[in-house]
Amino acid sequence: MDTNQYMEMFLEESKDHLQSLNERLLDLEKDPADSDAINEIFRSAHTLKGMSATMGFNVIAELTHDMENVLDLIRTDKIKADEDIIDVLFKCIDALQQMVDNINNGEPEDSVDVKELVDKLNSIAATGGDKAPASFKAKTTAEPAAKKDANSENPPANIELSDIDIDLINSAKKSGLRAMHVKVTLAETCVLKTARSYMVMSALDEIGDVIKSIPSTEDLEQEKFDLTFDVILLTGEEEQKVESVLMNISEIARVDIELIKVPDAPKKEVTTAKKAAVPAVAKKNAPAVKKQAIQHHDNMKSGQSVRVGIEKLDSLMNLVGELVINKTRLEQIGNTHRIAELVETVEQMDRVTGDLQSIVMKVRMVPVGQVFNRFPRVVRDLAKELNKEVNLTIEGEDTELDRTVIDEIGDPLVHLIRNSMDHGIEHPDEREAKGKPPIGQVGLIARHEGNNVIIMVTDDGAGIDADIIRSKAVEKSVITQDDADNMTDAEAVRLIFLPGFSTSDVITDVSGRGVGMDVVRTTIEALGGVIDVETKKNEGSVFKIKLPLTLAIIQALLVNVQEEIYAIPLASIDSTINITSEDIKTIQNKETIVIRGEIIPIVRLDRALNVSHIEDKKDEEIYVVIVHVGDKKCGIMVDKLIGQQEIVIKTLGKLLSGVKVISGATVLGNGQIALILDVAILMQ
Amino acid sequence: MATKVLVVDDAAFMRMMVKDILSKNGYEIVGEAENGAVALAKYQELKPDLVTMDITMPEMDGITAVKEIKKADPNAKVIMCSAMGQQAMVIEAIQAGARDFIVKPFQPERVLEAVRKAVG
Repeated sequence: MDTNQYMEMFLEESKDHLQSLNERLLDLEKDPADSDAINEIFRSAHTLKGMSATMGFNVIAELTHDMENVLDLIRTDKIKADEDIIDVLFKCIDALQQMVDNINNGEPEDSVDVKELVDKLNSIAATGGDKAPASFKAKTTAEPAAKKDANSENPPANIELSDIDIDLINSAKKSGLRAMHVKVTLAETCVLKTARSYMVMSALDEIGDVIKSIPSTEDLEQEKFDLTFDVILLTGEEEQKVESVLMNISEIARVDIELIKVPDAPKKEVTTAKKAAVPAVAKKNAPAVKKQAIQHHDNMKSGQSVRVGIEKLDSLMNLVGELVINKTRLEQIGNTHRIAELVETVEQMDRVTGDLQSIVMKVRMVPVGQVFNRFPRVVRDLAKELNKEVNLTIEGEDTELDRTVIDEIGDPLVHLIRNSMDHGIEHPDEREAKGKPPIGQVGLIARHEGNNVIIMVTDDGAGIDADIIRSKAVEKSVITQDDADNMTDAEAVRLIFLPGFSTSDVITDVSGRGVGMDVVRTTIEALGGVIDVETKKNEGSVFKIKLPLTLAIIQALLVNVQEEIYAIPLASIDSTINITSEDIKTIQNKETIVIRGEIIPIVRLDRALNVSHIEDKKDEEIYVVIVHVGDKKCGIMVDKLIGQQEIVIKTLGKLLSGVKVISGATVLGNGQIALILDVAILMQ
Repeated sequence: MATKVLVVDDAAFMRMMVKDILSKNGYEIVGEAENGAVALAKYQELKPDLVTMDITMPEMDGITAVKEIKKADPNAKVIMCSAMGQQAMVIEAIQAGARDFIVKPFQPERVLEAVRKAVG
């Protein structure tokens, strides 16, 4: 069967189940008596087994099957989920994850060696259970071994009848019943033979009495038979009827029926008259089912959801973006040519595109919990590795972010959490010496703040020592001693975001390779976000990440520099003011202005961007846009303010990816291109 | 009128699989449910001719669901979808009134055979 079409869905659902396995196993580790957790773990493993077997991924199926055996023993209280077992299970999940990842990348699943894990699971199962269930492999290979030609002539064998049986048969005959010898042959492919034989037996019980079966009912129940079994049936029905009843059960290859003739005098050997044997695998002759299009019923409504590939959403978003551009263009045409009707229509259209945009945006939104939920496992493993005790609290996992942001934010967060646990949280004895509780707290908090989402990684560890940072920075010649002396503590701490900085004396596996924080910062800035840190010695640190809700369409202020148009994201704008050239004061060789007692450095955009002067303005009003990044503010001097507008961000493409000050471009209503300024970089 | 089928499985992947097999062969999938409780509600709402029922599910397992559905409609036709190693549960489901069972990994012919025989 072609399974490729199900691949995407298989991968998606496998990931969900692996996630749930990880989470619930953590719960089980905390409370080994948590029956909900073990049941859910069992279900997830079971579902994975079914899916992977269907897809033909036998290694996954085998591993999950063996996991299931162990889980079942835990579930039925036959063994206790101790630390060793939990560890093995975690390793199994990792192996499964690895295999699913391999499949995702188009590699074979079996590059992961699961033999050791399977052995471990089996030995756990063997010690725990009263009877260890057969391993998956043994079972699957056992079945084809029992091959028999089901279509060959296979007349019922003679059955030894006891005197009691013969008496029963005789008295039944007197009351008009027939005695039949029924031989049932199961299909070779039949897997659950006992269940199948049970169905045969109950079907026969409905139309008569089964007085004997070979093998015995007990053996049938324990699957101690090959593909055939024989029964003696007393019934008022015709042979054909019996046969059709049995043939209507699935996976029955053939049924052979003979009437039993018992001589009046009790005689042990029974002679049988042969009855038609019907080859039953007549599936192909069954009436061909008409192909019909599925009708969609109106009553398929409640709680339906659809999984959609992210690339479809991306192109939808793009199309909506194009629509917004065209709308703006129409708006402009209406205004230029003063066509009232067009302007009115565009206003209508504006509402519709606005709604469309917000829906598309919402569809792309994913709760940040999708990223957060992997951290309990990360923290657990890391705490073990570092020999520290850490409690992770997660808040605001429902907070939603654009899918693109979600995909990118995971790694930086892992890094921050690792840093907090490695550098921040102290060892338990050290903590107790400081009068802190031995268990360290790490927090992962998300919340909305205006048009942004804030994600914070907090810890109650040692904090970052500004003096150590200063001396390290000087030592690594990131800054000069003079700079260091002039820096405030907060500024000094921010040095950790500079390239080539690591404060850990020992380079551990966990963190401290010196590439960490600046990579984190770059990633977050690439997402249009900012990162900042606050720290207090011996009380802990807070890393605060501020991310835009979406990356695709933003509100921006359009400004003129000479003839060129630039867009400044509204989110980073504080205010706009008019000044005259006399207001500009030069302090420490930097041009600044004073607004409400605050000294703000200014950037002349034309100089920063190297826009050539066409005209020189004197004694005129100068427009300044005050922007902020974190706590820092800056004034951007521009020639003219055009106005606020919704813009669709287009990337500059690979060719221009090196241009720092520009974060993207947008197409304006008149078809002109405006470059979007990267405020954070402009300020440096 | 095509035979109306309600597909019950907690894995959307499995539902998709069963749905594909059946709809390609002229059956009409009138609904899906991801657990026994939803299945029971949908059964009463949609009145399908046949239900394919997974055994291991959250909220309400397949066996309980069969019992409940049978209670509501003694003529209900249910086919169990089981995995290897669930023999006892399959038997329990049969006792509860399930018509047949199919075993994962599904073979399309087997699924169709079971459905055909159950619908009669």
